[in-house]
Amino acid sequence: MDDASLPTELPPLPDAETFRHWFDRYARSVFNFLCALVGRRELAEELTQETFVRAYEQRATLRDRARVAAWLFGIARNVSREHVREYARWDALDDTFDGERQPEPTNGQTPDAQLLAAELHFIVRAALAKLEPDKRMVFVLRTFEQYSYEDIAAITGFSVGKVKTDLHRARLEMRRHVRPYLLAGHGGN
Amino acid sequence: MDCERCLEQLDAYLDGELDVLEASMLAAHLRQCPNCQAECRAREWENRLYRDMAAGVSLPEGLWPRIAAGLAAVDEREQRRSGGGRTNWFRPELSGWWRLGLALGCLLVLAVGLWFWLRPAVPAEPLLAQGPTPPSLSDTGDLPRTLPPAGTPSAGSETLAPADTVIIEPPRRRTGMTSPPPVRERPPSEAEQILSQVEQTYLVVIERLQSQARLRRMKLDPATRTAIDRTLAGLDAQIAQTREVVRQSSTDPAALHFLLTAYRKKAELLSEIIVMTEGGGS
Repeated sequence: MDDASLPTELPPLPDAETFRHWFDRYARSVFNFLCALVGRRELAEELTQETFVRAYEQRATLRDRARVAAWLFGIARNVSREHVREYARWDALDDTFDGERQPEPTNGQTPDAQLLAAELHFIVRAALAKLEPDKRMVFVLRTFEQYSYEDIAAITGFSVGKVKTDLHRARLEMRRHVRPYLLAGHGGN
Repeated sequence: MDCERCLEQLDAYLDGELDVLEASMLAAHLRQCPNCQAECRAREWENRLYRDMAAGVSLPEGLWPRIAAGLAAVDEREQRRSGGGRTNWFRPELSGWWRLGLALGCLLVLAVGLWFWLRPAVPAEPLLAQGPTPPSLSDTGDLPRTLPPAGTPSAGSETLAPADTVIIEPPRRRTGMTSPPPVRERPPSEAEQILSQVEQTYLVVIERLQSQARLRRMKLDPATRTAIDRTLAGLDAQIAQTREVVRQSSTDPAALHFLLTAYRKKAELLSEIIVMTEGGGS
């Protein structure tokens, strides 16, 4: 066995420092994605942590560092699926989209715009909760995280065709819930 | 392009997923259709709403330190694994006395195993030890009749009827080895002597490992400690149980094998504790 004949140009595995960089860049998106999938902020926090630790354990499986986001989201999806039996449906809609940023009704002084925004956020959360998990995942990746159809297919493991179909149906369902508020609150402006 | 087709493709258009030709056709339609324009504006507004909501989400505080701790734990595990794992036994930083002891123990186990492998199972001794043989055996004249070897005390056999002294003895490779007399007060057989030696070696090794492991176990995390304690308790129970079986039938190869395997497992587990706590302890 000649060592020289063996391929030795394997790229070094990403270290903790690299992960810190990836955390700064993608953690918010991963957390947001998991929030939308599992519906509970505390759980999403745990799962985000689990996602990064697991990604670190499996860092040898990252083939292309240019697609690290898709890789991380794929792991996040797997992590969330493991909890899916426990949290198949949202049983609590509170603080999913960051309660700290919601308007504070201090002395009834909250501006109308803030109230309207808060109500809209609630409507969106409720509508998201009603989506089937696959559709919700595709919808969140597209409309929240702005991933292309191909990226979504890579992350979810679905075909591009399924991504398109699920996204179309998810949008129709979301629209059915959200559009009335759009028309009433903004008059379509 | 008609309105129906336009609305069908509008989302893909806004997502930038239409090809150039389709996108230009749809844009042309939008320029001349106020209804589709209004729908397009509404969808753009929806998309902006979702984007803004996502942008408004902030990460929980203190998340990175917890992740960093997780990564460090992974590093530590990997280091331990790459530095040893199954080859931990021969890590240079481990002191030599118990390593040698274990190696000796393994050799003895191997020797006993070989001895039992080469020596066919002997049902005669247990048969005799358990008392009178069934009459049918003594009545069959074609069976080989062998008296116990001369010079071996056979107090038990004296109490039996002459027919009962017939031993169904399978062919033996070692003619020099005397079959143990079927009584409780007999001198230990070769197998028993070897077993006793191996057992003593294991007991010494285990005792020393145990004293080391007892000092170091607090360095383990609670979950690992609990798991190890549970496994050790299981092994102890297994040893006690198998020992009893061996005491009743000292030449039963299966029982001997189980007993020695249980000893070996316990020694391995204890040394694993020492290896696991080696890095963190220093």
